[in-house]
Amino acid sequence: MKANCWYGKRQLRVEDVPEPKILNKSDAILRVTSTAICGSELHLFNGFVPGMQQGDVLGHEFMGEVVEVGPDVRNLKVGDRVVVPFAISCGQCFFCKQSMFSLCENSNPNAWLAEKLWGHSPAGLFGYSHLLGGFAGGQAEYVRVPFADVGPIKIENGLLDEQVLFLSDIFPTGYMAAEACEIKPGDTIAVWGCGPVGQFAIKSAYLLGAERVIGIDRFPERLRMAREKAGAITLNYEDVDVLDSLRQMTGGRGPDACIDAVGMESHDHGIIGAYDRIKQAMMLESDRPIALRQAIMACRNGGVLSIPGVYGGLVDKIPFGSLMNRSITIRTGQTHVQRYLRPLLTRIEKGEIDPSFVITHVWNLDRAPEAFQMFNDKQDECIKVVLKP
Amino acid sequence: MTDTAIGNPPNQADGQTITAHHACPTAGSLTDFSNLARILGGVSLGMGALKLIAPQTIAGFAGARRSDKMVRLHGLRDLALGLGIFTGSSPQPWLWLRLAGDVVDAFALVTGSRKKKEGVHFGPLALLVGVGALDALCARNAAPLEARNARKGRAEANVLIARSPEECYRFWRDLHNIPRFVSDRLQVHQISPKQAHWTLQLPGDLANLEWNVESLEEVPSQRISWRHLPGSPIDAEGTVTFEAAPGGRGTYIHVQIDFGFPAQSVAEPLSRLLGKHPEQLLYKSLRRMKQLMEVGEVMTTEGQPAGRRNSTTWLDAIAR
Repeated sequence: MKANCWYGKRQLRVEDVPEPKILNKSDAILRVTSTAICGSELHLFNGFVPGMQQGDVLGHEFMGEVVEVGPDVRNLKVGDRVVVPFAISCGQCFFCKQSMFSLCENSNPNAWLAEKLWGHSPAGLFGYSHLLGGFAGGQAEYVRVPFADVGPIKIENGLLDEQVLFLSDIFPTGYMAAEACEIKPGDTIAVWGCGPVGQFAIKSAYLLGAERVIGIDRFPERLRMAREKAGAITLNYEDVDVLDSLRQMTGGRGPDACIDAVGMESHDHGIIGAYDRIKQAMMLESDRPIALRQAIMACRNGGVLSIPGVYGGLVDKIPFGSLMNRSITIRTGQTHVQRYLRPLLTRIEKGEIDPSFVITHVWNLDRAPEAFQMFNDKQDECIKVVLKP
Repeated sequence: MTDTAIGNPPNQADGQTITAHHACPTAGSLTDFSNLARILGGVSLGMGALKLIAPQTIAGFAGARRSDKMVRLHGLRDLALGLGIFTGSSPQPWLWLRLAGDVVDAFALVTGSRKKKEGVHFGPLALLVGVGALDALCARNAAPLEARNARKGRAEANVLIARSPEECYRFWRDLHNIPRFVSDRLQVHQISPKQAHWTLQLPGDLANLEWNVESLEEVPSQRISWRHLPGSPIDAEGTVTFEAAPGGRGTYIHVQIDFGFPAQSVAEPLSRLLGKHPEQLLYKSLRRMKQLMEVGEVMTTEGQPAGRRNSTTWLDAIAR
């Protein structure tokens, strides 16, 4: 079968690989009908996530039709149409029982390795390095889904792939980020990064009752989408001083909550951006936390800093004194997708949101490497690519 | 080495013998001569490697005129001495040999000096004399044979399983379960009420390791102790305890195994790097036991698709 494989920094190839088999009794095999490229995969593409190995199959946003189930699978049968969460969760452990699915204790066979880097291991993820299990991903014609009774949600209502595909990651991710802000009437929320997760964070903040949501980016098409499709007020950080503008807009107090939907490859045109690029290139820090620093400084006293953006290792010069002295709460984590599948599917069914608004490109899986390059370089006003195997 | 160890019950030999033979047993202190011996062993290994890789740099530093071949020969000697210090049953004879090596080196330095007229390079010579003095001091005081053997390896690991102590105890006590979380190359058979026969197939089907394990103590829902019977390839004694975690969170499992081979050896850093140190293997086994008890099977990616020859990689091999 065809699969999009990683061979090194900015080296992807669609290769012919063996088809997946049932390896654990609770596995299911899916014929993938739609898959997408996640912004967090650009960190893999650019070689910033440790533990990638040549030949790894990428892809953690996918959906499809069940073609085979293992002997222990009860909830799914051949022919079911399902969306699969990007985090693999057993449903039985301490964390799964508390709906903290991305912290599953039993789904990462390489947990020992992750513990070396992070102290403790989170759940295994599809196609996201051998630190997180080395699981083959879904940018392929077929994919193996472990713990098939726990993760996948059945889609039985005739909604299009494009409307439900993003339940696998970015919609719940933006939603969880907004939920973490504990939004109260009258709240102003600022969102760094108007990529797909940023768009869903903006939308979700409004769904959860925010008065005003401010989107921050530099690409005109992303700012336009945030304004026109998600309803945000936008700031282009190349044109204005973000901290000044946010003070102006909030009577000097700052946004009630700030969302960093950028992560480890943050960009800045000034001297700070150059500083972090050099430090990252010299491996003096693994992640560039430019948006994160700004979000901390911008947040109002006693506010919430919500971080759905992905970080891998070490960051430098975090203004921790600002966090401590101003009583700021930090909430972060890989998304507990399973927790949000049912409620968010209901919102889609009710027409409260149509997640397909972020899609700018629908391409054949054969062109996945080209699509990664385009998405990475923000060419052709690319915001979200859906791939069809 | 194992024979002597089997003679001593590991638990008793461990602390007592060491304190008896060490004047000052403070860990890391230079007066603890077994530590000094390890440092000198490390110097041997390092110098040996340097002489093999960059013979001219070393010769240049010493100001000696020697062919690459000669320096490399010295390098091989140093490597052998270093290995001897780390793996030998006692470092003592190897330390005396190191002193002999120092004398040879000093002689080479004096006779082989490049610029006879300017005399010998005194820096390197002084260094050699100093190291030689340390070698002599350490060789005189290093712990004799029995003490070295008493320095046992210990592996400890913990896991929290969301099941009751009764269930965890029963799972562990059922010998059929042991291979399911320790290794699929392992077979365990009960041969008498108190004894079981273990067979471990070595990688590549080269050979089997076999030994008998005797149960020492079994307190239902609390503890199991066992030891390897004489004749085992590895002398070991272990205890697993089961303790109810507060708030109904399951069971804290703690395993401690004392091995009858030296705690420190050249193999140790390498096995740690490869994730195959006994303590790491024990911990990974406990994680698999947790998966078996909580979800009924051990998660794998062996056999999945990949754009390379093998479904898993060297990194997975280290991690699992």
